[in-house]
Amino acid sequence: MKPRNRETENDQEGCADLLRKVLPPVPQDAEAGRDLWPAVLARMQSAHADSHWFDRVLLAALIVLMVIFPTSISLFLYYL
Amino acid sequence: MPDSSMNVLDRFRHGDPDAFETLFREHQAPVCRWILRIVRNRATAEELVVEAFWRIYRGHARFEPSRGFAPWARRIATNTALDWLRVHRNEDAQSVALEDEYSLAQPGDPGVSLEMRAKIAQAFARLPPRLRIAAVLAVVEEQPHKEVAESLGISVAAVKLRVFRALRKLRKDLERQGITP
Repeated sequence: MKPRNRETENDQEGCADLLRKVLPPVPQDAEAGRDLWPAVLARMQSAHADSHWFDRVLLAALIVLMVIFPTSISLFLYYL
Repeated sequence: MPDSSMNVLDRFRHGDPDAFETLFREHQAPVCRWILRIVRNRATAEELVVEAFWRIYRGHARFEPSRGFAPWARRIATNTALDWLRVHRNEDAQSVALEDEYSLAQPGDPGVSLEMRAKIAQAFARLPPRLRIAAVLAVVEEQPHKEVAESLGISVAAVKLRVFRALRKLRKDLERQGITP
């Protein structure tokens, strides 16, 4: 009878071999089919536009808060 | 503020977009190849490269130039791919396996039938993402364990353990289907 550890090692190696046969490695020269920089740039610009939208909403909320509660102006200035 | 005397890594750390573009041009191919090794589909890999480089740019302030850009980028790329695997984990394993451009589309080993290859690819796609990613990089792609460990942010011993658990789970899944590795 084979020791349990050896049996497990053999099972593992057999499974790894089978996996290598079924899933061949990706070729060493594989690369993107196109220049991805324009897509990265578009991603950065859309995120920038989103942050501008958020900034405007935050500013509007602050103005409304100051109009309704004028005492909040001193509190706001304190935290600036 | 970045100035012209700083090197590209320092300028990137300060958020200079030109330095970021330089680094993108230099590292796009290896990052894409690394992601491709994990997701094994070119269209998905391209989408994830864009997401990974966006995360890289967003995290520029956390970058430490002394540690080098390539390992840091690889780590972010691995996390991006891992997130994708997690999101798509609940999809049908058959469709996930079919998206693999490098297994079923290739002629493969003549000793393994097409049906068996499909079953094995599907069983592999059913593995938990963190085990699958360790197995695909260490076993299929035969990347050094140290590199896999760095990209996953774990120790070499933890990589070996994940590979062991992945292969054991895969073997049990295949045995249930009557396939003995």
